[in-house]
Parts: sequence; C-alpha cells; structure tokens
Amino acid sequence: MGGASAPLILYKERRDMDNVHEIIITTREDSNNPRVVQFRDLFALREQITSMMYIWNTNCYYVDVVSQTFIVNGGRKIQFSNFEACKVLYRRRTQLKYTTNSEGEPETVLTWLIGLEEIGTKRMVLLIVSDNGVVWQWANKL
Amino acid sequence: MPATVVITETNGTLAGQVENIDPANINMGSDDSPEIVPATYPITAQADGHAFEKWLRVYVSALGGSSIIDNIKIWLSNLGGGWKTGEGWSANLRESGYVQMSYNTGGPIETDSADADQAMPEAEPSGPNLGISGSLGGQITSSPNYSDWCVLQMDISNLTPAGSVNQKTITFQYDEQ
Repeated sequence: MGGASAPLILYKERRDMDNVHEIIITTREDSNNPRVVQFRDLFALREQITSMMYIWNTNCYYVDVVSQTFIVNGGRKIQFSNFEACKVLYRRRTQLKYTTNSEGEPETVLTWLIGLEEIGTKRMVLLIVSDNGVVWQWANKL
Repeated sequence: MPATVVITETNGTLAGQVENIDPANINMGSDDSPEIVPATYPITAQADGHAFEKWLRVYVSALGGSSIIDNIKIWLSNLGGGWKTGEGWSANLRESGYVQMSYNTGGPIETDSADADQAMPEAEPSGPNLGISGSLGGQITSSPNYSDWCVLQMDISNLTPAGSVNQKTITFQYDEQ
C-alpha cells in the first residue's frame, strides 16, 4: 500500500436535510479529476483505494488504508488491540429470496460492505450500504 | 460485473439425475420434481409425514469481477403467518459439526430424511451454514463451480390441518470478494 496520487471520489446519499451521508474515497488512479461513483462501482476499485472518509451528520470516520489508521471525529482513534496488521475488506452480499407456494421468481437483494478488519481478532469496523440506507458499526468478522 | 450465481435443484436417481438450473421456486410437495405446483402434489396429513427432499446447490457459472464466493447462509427469513400444527422444515444446514452430503443412489426421498436431520434455521445464522468443498470456510475461486449439497425437507403430522400452509421465504445468502 504505497502512497500514490489520489483523486477524490465522492459518493453521496442525501435522504433529507437533517440526515446526510457522504463517503469520500481516494484511489491510486492516475486521473486527478474528482468524480462521482455509485457505491456498487467501488467493488471494481477495491484494490485501488488509499483512504475512506465517511461523514454522517456531524460525525466523521476516517480510514487511511496506507497507514492503517482509523480515526473518529478527527481525533479519537479507534483502539485496536492488535493494530500491527489490518486490511480493508470489500464484499458484495447477495440474498436470493424464494417464497414458497409461489410461482414467482426469487427476489434479489444486494448489500455492499466495506470495512477495516483487524487480523488476529474477531472485530472489524464495517460500513453497510443497502437500499435501507447506510450503517457504520463495530461488527464481528464476516 | 457481479458473479453469476443461481440455485440448482437436482432430481431423480444418482444414475439418472436431472439438474434444473435456476428454478423459479422451491415449492415442497409429494413429487420429486422442480417448480412443483403444491395443489397438484399435496402432502397427505399423516403421522411422520414428509415432502420429497429438495437437493439444492449454489451454482456459480461465472465469477464476473469477483475472485471469491463464500460465506453461504441459508435460512427461513419469513414464516408468513407461522407454522401450522405439526408442520416444520428440516435441513442439513449447520454452523458446527458440519458434514458434506453426497447425492443418494436412489435420489430424493419422501420418508424421514437422514440427511436433513437439523431444524431449519428461522433467523440468519451468525456464520456460514452450508459448506464449499466440505468446509464451512471453503471458497469458490473458479467457475463453473458449486457449493455443497443443501438438503431440505418439509415435515408434517397427522394433526396438520387440511389446506395450504402459510407462505414462507427461504433466503440464500453469499458474499463476493
């Protein structure tokens, strides 16, 4: 994870004036032009990401992939018990929902997960994006 | 591009098995065939009654832009109006003590399944409950490829009332990396 030029990539979800989610991501791409992508497109960029910042109302969560740090609200650093080796996790989760006594096709539900997991423990910081919105949480490893 | 992943159902004897890729539904009934119309193949209320087993697999026909498929979880995510008297579902799904199934010589049965010997989960399992290559931690890293067999069976009793049971939702979940 060496340093590299890092254009800004924005993902915004604005549900109402009082509830704003924003994810700002930098990558190794050569282009220096900021651009907007959908979260589903991040899957293709998963090996390129150098940092992520998630803003939810007045809260800010920042992950620097290169230095492997996770900072909350610009100051309080999440204390990993073993912070020697972390890695960023990206997953696209699919649910196929079949209804019995039915002739209809199964419903497909997609969720995107992005997080920083700590090697050697069961805990991780996880961002979950679905049609229901955005959730950032401490979670057990997947 | 996402991986192309569907469910398959296999019917018939081992020697004459027929695989149905991406069935429209997983309806249970008194016939060993995919996409059953329950009204055509009802299950007769009886002591220790059962539908034909369903032998299913998660089938990855193309990995797309992904490199790994894993973390397969299967559960009843919605019981509709709940269980009727004597009604239940069994499965081989387990989060510990997992055993990989082999397709039986005679194919699916409608007597009490020795393979589907666990209660079907009614909430999302905390970890995978269907393996890949015999391991819950297994991964699919090439295509085409399959998960292990998932064996499901609906159970009823002589007290189960006549008529349709409540609609239920079965969720198959997997992760792409």
